[in-house]
Amino acid sequence: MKAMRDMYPLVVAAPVLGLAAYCLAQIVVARSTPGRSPYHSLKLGFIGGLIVTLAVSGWAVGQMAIGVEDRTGYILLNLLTYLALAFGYFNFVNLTVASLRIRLLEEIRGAGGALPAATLKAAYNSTEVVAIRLQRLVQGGHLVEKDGRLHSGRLPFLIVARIFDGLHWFIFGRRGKKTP
Amino acid sequence: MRSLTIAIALSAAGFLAHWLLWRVRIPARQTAALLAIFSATLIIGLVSSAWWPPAWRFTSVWEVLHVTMLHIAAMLAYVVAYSALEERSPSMTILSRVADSGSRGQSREELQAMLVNVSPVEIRLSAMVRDGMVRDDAGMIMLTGKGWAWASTFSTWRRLLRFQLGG
Repeated sequence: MKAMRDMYPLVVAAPVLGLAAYCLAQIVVARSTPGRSPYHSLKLGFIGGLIVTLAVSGWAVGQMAIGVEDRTGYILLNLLTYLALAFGYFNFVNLTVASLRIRLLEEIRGAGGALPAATLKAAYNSTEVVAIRLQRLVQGGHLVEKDGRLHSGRLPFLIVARIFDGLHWFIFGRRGKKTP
Repeated sequence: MRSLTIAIALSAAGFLAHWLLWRVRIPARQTAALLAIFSATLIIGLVSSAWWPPAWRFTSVWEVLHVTMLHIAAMLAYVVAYSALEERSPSMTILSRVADSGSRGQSREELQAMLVNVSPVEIRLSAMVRDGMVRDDAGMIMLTGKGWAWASTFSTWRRLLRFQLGG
C-alpha cells in the first residue's frame, strides 16, 4: 500500500510528462530543420512523447503492489490520456499551418487590429484558397497529378476526411451543412 | 481497470448527452455548450460516486485526478475536432471529390468550379463574429480582446517553431 501511495502520483503525471516531451521535441526538431514539412516535427515529437508516457507509466506501475489487471488498466488509461492530449497539441500546431481563420486573425493583428472586409475577401478569394490547397495536397502526396488530372494519392488524410464525414452525419444528421 | 472503466464511461456519458441535445436543438454557442456538457458530466459523475457500489468508489484523490485527466483531455480533443466537423475544410472537400470521381479524377478547373461560388473568407468571418473574435463595424473587421489573444498566441507559437504564415 505504501508503494502504491508513493508511485501513483507519478503514474497520474505520466501523460502530462509525455505531452511536455512532445512539445519540447517538436519545438527542437522544427527549429533545427527549417523549411521541412511541419508534420515531420509533429510526427517525431509525438513518438518522443509516447515513449516518455509509456516508459514512465510502465516503470511507476511496476513499482506498485497491484495486480496485472490494474497495471494494464493504468497504462491503457495513460495511453488514452496521452493520445487525447497529443491530438489537441497536433491540432493546435496544425491550426497555425492550415487554418484560414487563424491566418485572417494574424493578418488583422498585423495591420494594427482592423482591416476592411473587402480587402480580406479580395486577398483570399475562392480561386486563391483552392490553388493554395491544391498545391499543398499535391506536395504532400495526398493528390497525384497524371495527364493534367488529379487522383487520390496517400490515403491517411482521405481516411480522416471520410471519418469526419461520417461523424458529421452522426452528430448533425440531415441538418448539418458541409461548408468548405 | 476500475479507473479506466469509470473514465471511459464518464466521457461516453458526456458524448451521449451532447448527441441527444443536438438531436433536439443545436445550441447557438456550440463550443461553450460542449464544454458545459462535458464539465457537468464530470462533476455529476464525481459527486455521485459516493453512492456507487463500494467496489467502484474512488480510493484516493489521485484516482479522482487520474480519471479527471482523461475526461478533460478527451473533452479538449473533441472540442478541437468539433470545429472541423462543424465546417468542412476546403482541403477535405477537394480530397473527397477527387476520391468520389474514381479513375476519372478531377482537373484543377473542375475543382475550382466546384468551390467558385463559396467565399471561404465570408464563411470564416461570419463564424469569427459569432464567436466574438472580431466585430464587423460597417465593413471594417476589428479584432476583439479575445481575437487579439488568439492571434497573439498562435503568432507567438508559429514564430517559436519558425513556421511560415499558414492558411
